[in-house]
Amino acid sequence: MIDKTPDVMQRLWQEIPTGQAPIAKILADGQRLRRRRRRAVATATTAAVVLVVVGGLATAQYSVGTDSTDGNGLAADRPNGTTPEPPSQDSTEVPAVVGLKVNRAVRLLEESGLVAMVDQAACGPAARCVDEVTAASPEPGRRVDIGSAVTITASVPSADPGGVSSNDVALKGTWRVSALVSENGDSLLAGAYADQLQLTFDAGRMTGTSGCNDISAVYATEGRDLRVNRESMSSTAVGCEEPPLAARLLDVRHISRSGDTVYLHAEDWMIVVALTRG
Amino acid sequence: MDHDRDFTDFASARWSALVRSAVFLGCTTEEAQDLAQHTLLRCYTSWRKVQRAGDQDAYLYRMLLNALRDARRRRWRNERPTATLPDRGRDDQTHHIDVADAVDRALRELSPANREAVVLRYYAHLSEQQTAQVLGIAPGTVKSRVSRALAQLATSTHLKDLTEGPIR
Repeated sequence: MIDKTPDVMQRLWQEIPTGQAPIAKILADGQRLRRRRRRAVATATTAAVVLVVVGGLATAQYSVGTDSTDGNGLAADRPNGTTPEPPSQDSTEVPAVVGLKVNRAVRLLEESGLVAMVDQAACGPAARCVDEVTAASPEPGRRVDIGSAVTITASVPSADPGGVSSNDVALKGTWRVSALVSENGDSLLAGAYADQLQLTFDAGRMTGTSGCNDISAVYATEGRDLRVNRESMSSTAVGCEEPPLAARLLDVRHISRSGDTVYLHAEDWMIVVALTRG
Repeated sequence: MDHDRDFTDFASARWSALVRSAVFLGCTTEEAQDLAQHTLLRCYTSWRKVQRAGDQDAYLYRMLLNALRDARRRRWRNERPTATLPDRGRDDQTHHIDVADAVDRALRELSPANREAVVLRYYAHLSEQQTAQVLGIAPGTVKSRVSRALAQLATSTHLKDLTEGPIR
């Protein structure tokens, strides 16, 4: 077995001219390459840091603008500086109301961000609405039946209160006042006036009857906001006992709609007036 | 700087072997010098990696082979034309060219794999283990390739002609 290369190759190997090793040039080129590599890494790092910082700022700004939380702990999606919107229907639970007075139950529902309505037809005289809730069968549809006499329907204000782009259009026409609620959450509609209160909205002008007097005012809507102009509010002056419709309308700040009913809310979204088509 | 001094010692000790190995692998002398310089430059920029390598010589020759293969793929595109040729006188190289040509022909008869194995094992003086590491093959394969290459060189007519005539 051959275990060596031919001598001639060994001799040629030794004769191959190799010259001096260009160490200085290699070092210079190598240092230049290293500097270039370090610059590239530094540039890439700076770019990454800038991107992260800018991205973080943009995200933070977006979060401040859109991810704030309402007082009731429910996320609200709204631009900065606008009125808090009602919670979405899917995220709101109907609280237990069994054992509570009807009015307290209504308030509790409202505090949970729901729009609570006492069906006046079933409730009858206002006095009966203070009855204690003895039975309830909460359903997914957010409907709570209380015994056989009173029905509380809890619903979430519609995401699009008017169901149309303009609340003016949604409000337009004549409405029957089906509920009028005091600041304490008590019903202000005595049985005798249950079907007599009416309001008509038309192109920024509101007219109506509060029982025995006629009222009139200018109103303005913007998005989910509704304001009744205090200075423009006028009323006839027949001396009679009637629900304080005009006074309560001045507290209205928001509007929402659920099914065929339009709700006028106070600043804290508590229902002030419920309107159904007359 | 220790870093540069270590590299300088390392590169100076290996320069000649790198150039000669490149020649035996098929480069001209100038190409071989360029290749050795390129290899050492890469070695310098990755010096920490080279220092950490278990076998620095194996690592270096692996870089040389990779650079050679890259260069062959790129057809020495790093070579730049120049208007003025380097002005340097040379001795009569005729006899040397004859020998180099004969050796080159003999080596060219080998397969590339056998040629790399014999050059690394017998001329760069790497061990079987190192050669296997550089070529990425088993030591047994190195042994068989080298054996085949040596047998082929021993019977090469190109080299036989030279040994019969005087070599200065």
